[in-house]
Amino acid sequence: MPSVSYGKYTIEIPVRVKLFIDGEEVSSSKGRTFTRENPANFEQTIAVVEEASTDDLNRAVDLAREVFDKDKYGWVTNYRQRIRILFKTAEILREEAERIAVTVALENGMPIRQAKAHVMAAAEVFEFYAGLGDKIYGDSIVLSNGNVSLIFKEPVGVVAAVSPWNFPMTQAARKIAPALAAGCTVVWKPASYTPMSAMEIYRALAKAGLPKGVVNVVYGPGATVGNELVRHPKIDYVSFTGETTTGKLIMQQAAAGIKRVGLELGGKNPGIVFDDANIEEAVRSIVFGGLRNTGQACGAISRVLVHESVHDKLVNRLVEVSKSLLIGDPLKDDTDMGPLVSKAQEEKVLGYIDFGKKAGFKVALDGGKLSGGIYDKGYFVSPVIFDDVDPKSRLAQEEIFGPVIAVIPFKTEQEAIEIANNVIYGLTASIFTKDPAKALRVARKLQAGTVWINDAYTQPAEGIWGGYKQSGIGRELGLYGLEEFLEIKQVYVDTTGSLDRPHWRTVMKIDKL
Amino acid sequence: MLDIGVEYGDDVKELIKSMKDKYGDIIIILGHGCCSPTEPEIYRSSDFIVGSDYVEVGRIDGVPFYIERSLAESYNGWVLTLKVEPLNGAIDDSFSLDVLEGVRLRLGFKKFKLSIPKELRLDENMIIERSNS
Repeated sequence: MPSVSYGKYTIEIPVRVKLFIDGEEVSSSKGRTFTRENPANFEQTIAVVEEASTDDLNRAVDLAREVFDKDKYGWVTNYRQRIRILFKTAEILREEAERIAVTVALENGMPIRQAKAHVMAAAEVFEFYAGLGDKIYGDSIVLSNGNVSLIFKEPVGVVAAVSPWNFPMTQAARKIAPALAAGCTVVWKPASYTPMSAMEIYRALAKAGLPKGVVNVVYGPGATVGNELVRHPKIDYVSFTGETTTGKLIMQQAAAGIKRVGLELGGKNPGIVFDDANIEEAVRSIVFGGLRNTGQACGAISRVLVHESVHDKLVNRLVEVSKSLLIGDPLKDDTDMGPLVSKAQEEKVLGYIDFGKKAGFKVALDGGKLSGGIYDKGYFVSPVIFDDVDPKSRLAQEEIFGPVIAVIPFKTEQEAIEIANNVIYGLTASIFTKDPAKALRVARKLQAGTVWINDAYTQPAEGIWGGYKQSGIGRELGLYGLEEFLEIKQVYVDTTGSLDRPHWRTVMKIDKL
Repeated sequence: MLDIGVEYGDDVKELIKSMKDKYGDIIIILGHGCCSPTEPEIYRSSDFIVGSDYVEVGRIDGVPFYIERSLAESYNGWVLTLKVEPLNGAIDDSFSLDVLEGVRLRLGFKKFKLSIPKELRLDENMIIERSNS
């Protein structure tokens, strides 16, 4: 059997990935499978994945529904149990981080150093929400009439989680960990490009003692499994990260049953470099924030707005640092950038590069499709930097999800803000300046869910994640990420025992009975 | 004023016709953002309310092709070229119905060659549609 190795770890491929239903790894009831190729070597099939049928999906939803509605295993009420399981899951992920990172690197194309940090970050998300598990406080109000209004926070119910491939562990953890901390049950459709990362998470949960049916995992295409899951009448909340138009479709479908939705969608994020910025700090942040994960990140800097007085200095250095990145085998320790995730993604990115050239934009760094050696068998694309890009062009308006940066010069602070905000998205932004007053002034005016000052794309579990405008609705991570999975209930308690109550008397004469 | 062309061949017409036969009223929407390529998505028209946020840039066998109004300006002066590509077993997590046929409607671009004098336009938002067939 062929295998892939990194250090002491060897993975025999293809890995068989099964559905996870009722605490068991099971095959598709229809016997259907799909395969995942290695993005760094498309001749290799690395996983054979069981594809859920409608029956499998219904069973997964029914089980999650039953556990929730009947409070089986005390899942909904016993938060101490949930806390223990979440802490234990974090511990397992942390202990196994290096081994799991090999899987992430293999199927996602993420460089192994980044993949290790990625698994650790997922562990932190589980740990963070474990810590919140006994801090779901309600509230109480003593009313002016002496009665009491009690506010309870309760789990929203059965959650459909649809997670993406670009950061397969953390993006899933952001949904599953808070949902479980809140006392929800989950039916999860992971991205089809990264089935093994999902398997690592459900195995860690199972090993940590998760009761059967609390989390059920179904694989398959968005058009069938994804679509059926998000519109399933027994689902209470849909948590989706992915393509913007799909998010709109889900929101419209959810309207039929007034399902709650949390949507984390696209971004076209500006990095704004003012004339007083530390240029080296800005460049390193932009390269990290824009090219990490080969630019396949919804929070990536993909537009660099630079003050005209420092434009040349910034662009020259940005080109220099971008060129220095080592692009290659994700399983080599010195690799900075791996391949794109798929042929479709590669074609999309190359299409934008072609578009930029046809549109006549200046090419500051002419990268693109790499060839020769291992590049011939993978989806390797080197960074491209377009300069003097028209802020209204597709390059400056649409999310590319690849290693392509559009540089846009500006003259004034106001102009920078207007360009930054003049897109349909509002996920993240970065500001580079030594002037704290300016940084805060601009941050207040930017339409973005996260604004970094003198940094880019660092995201602690304690923070928040989510967007303005078409970047989505709701927030993940932090305290807000837990609130998404909670309903709020008021219980009004009469403390008077009186049969003559002012609010009755105002409307009806029942006080005279 | 928008000059956005749509160009397609018989492969696209055949796909759209077969999908209409199968699903009834359908629409094509240019999807974008995050983890999927910018590509046309095919939905049942009853599943997706387009509203005034979108503009129609063409029709294929009577099926409207919409792009987002706020993005339309960046497409001005370009021809959107559509073709059908087999998935050949490749994974596609889009909710678009063409995936179920084992194909995807793919999008390309080319510069608009035609220039329509202002006085010949039917209205200022006139869209130019062309077909290769």
